[in-house]
Amino acid sequence: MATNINNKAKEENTYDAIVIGSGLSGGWAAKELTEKGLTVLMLERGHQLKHISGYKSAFKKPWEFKHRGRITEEQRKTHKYLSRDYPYGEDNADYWFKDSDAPYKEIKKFDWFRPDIVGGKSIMWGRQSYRWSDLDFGANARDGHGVDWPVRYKEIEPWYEYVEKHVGVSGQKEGYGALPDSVFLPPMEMNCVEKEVKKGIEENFHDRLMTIGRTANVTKQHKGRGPCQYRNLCHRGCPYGAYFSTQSSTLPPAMDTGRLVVKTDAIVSEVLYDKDKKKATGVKVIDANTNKTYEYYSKIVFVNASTVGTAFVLLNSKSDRFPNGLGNDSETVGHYLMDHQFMYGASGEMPGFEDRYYYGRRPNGIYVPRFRNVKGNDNRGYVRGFGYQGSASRQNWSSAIKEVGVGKEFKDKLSEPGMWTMGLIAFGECLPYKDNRVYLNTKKTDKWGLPTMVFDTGFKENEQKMRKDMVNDAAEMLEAGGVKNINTFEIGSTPGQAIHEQGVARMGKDPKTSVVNKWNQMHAVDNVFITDGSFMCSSGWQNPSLTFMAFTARACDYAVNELKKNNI
Amino acid sequence: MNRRDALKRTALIMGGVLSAPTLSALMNGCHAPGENGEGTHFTSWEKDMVKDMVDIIIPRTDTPGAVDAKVPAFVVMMMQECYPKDDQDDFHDGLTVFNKWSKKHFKKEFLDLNDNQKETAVTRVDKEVLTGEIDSDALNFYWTLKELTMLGFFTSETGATETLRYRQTPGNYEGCIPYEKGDKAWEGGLPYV
Repeated sequence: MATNINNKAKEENTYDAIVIGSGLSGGWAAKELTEKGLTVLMLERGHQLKHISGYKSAFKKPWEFKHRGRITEEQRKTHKYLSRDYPYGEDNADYWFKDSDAPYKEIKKFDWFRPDIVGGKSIMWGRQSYRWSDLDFGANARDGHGVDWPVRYKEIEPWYEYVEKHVGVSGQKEGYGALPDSVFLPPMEMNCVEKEVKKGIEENFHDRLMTIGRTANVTKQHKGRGPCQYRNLCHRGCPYGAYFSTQSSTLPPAMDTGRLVVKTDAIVSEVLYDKDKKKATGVKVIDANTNKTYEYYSKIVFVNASTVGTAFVLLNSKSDRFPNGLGNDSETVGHYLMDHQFMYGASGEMPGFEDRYYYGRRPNGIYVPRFRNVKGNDNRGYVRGFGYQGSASRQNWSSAIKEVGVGKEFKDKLSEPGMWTMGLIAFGECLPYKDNRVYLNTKKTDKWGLPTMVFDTGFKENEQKMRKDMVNDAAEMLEAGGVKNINTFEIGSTPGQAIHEQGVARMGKDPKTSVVNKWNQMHAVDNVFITDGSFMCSSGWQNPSLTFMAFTARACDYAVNELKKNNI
Repeated sequence: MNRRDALKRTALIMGGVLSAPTLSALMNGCHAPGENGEGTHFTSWEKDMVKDMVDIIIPRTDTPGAVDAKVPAFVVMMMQECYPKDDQDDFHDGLTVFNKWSKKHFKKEFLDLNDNQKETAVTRVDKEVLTGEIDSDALNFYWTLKELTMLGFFTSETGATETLRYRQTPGNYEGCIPYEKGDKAWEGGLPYV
């Protein structure tokens, strides 16, 4: 009798697939797998955040925020890492994880942005969406850093197209080699000064391009979503569904299949492994509120816990067969952690155009794709390259805080727009280094008794050498565009700050040196797939999310075919 | 350009791509939380000084001013809730030093000055602090006061909708439209200050 009950309970907890994480890639996995007929359990450690009704701050006006966007000393105590950076503000504070529940150790400073909601960072992401090309997929093979990507652009191109058609990426077709065009919705408009600077850059540098940012904001109705209302309040969650998020885009079709179950507050502590079957059998979950543990079972497991989260899940899944963590025969799990370096660039003042202004808050800027080391090595003393984001705007009152002035005249002046300024900020590639890593600290546990993380990751010589061009090229292009009083800046970032963390369970041909194969399938455990940023074996210079989506859709297609053929 | 200016520029340059809340955490440095999280007490003369100074920085004109927008209470609340104890202490000390400074220059405590003298005093400290000509570091509290005054005012309902123009939901974007001198600036969302 007891056995029967257990069997029944086990059956109720069994699905075709388990997806760990509901963020940008986990949402895609849930959508693709359910649409292909699988029953799916999606596990999210954060709390529920319902589309539209959950976005409590979306219609709040500036004066309805007590601290006008700023965070308090109390929040600094509970969010010690998050409060060092910009994305954690008053208007979406409860979307973020409470750092004090699971502090981490920094041998070197690392800004780990942990969301605490369904949708993960797909709610607060920057939405910039760029394809890679063979400049990137071929990079490791070309210069010998990291392992060669086992895929090339041609194989991924149809999957970029596939996800873009669903996401809705607005942008301008350019035919620029290093940045293949996507399937675009209409581009957003550049403002007058941006247009002027574009002209100057392209006239003076024939190999360079300035284009409008390619963004996952829909500029016209797309699959019942949007269009964008130009509020620039995206990070609060969009009540118009006008940008891609799990909630707006992947969750609805997955739910429509009737085959998706989402469990929130469900912390996956490990993937269960059966050494006789040589398969993952499911996952162990801790209820974040009650601390009770549960087990769920499935034929395949998709790990989409976000890069560092995925490193945690794998490293914490220890068994006789995998004493160093699931699928970690290569002992590379947690290594080769990458992020982009940014906050290098230049800005200045654009004379004239006093009789021009703009309407609306465009949630997007301009983009200058990579032009260094594109057609071979330019002998700049470094490999790889960088791209720029940027924008022009008219100054407002907040620019005048450091200006002398009080009283009527000062107030009157600030009630009108100030001069035009334009700036460029570089995002530079970081090479994969074995000793840039994150690992478990089993001696210090978190609120739920789980090991905490230790970060030991830093930028190195190649990144440092690249910075000179990141700064000087920005100034040079602004100058070519007619911008005056140019200031360069080298604030710099530390790993994690760009929130483009990637690479702790890398893809490769050789099981001895990589974790997953070209299908994002774990070499050592063939029913486990990893499709968040973890699998990336180089970082590129572009914002990476679109690439995670394309590989996720492709891996789902492969996994379901393999399941059907009884290969896994 | 200092780190704070540079970060602010960075935020503006990214044109809405950075999630838009605030760079204040970065720009205010990585200061540790204060020893005790509770706000320090503001005496009534301190509150009166804040009120008079705020009123001079952003006065009522043909549109309501900072006092109308309840900025003095905002400044006090922000000091108590968003600044570490050390900064709060500096702010209190600064008010005292400013009062002494007023005595030295005007032979009277600040609150006893007439309106013209108060305006002269604030105008002078504004210029001296912001141009770095000041003779006392303690007066640097004025930076914070001015910043919070501007933040509090331009993000207030009257500041955003009457001194500036506010559209919560613009609906579309036009990148290059005519501007005539006198047209008000758009409120730009919670600022990077």
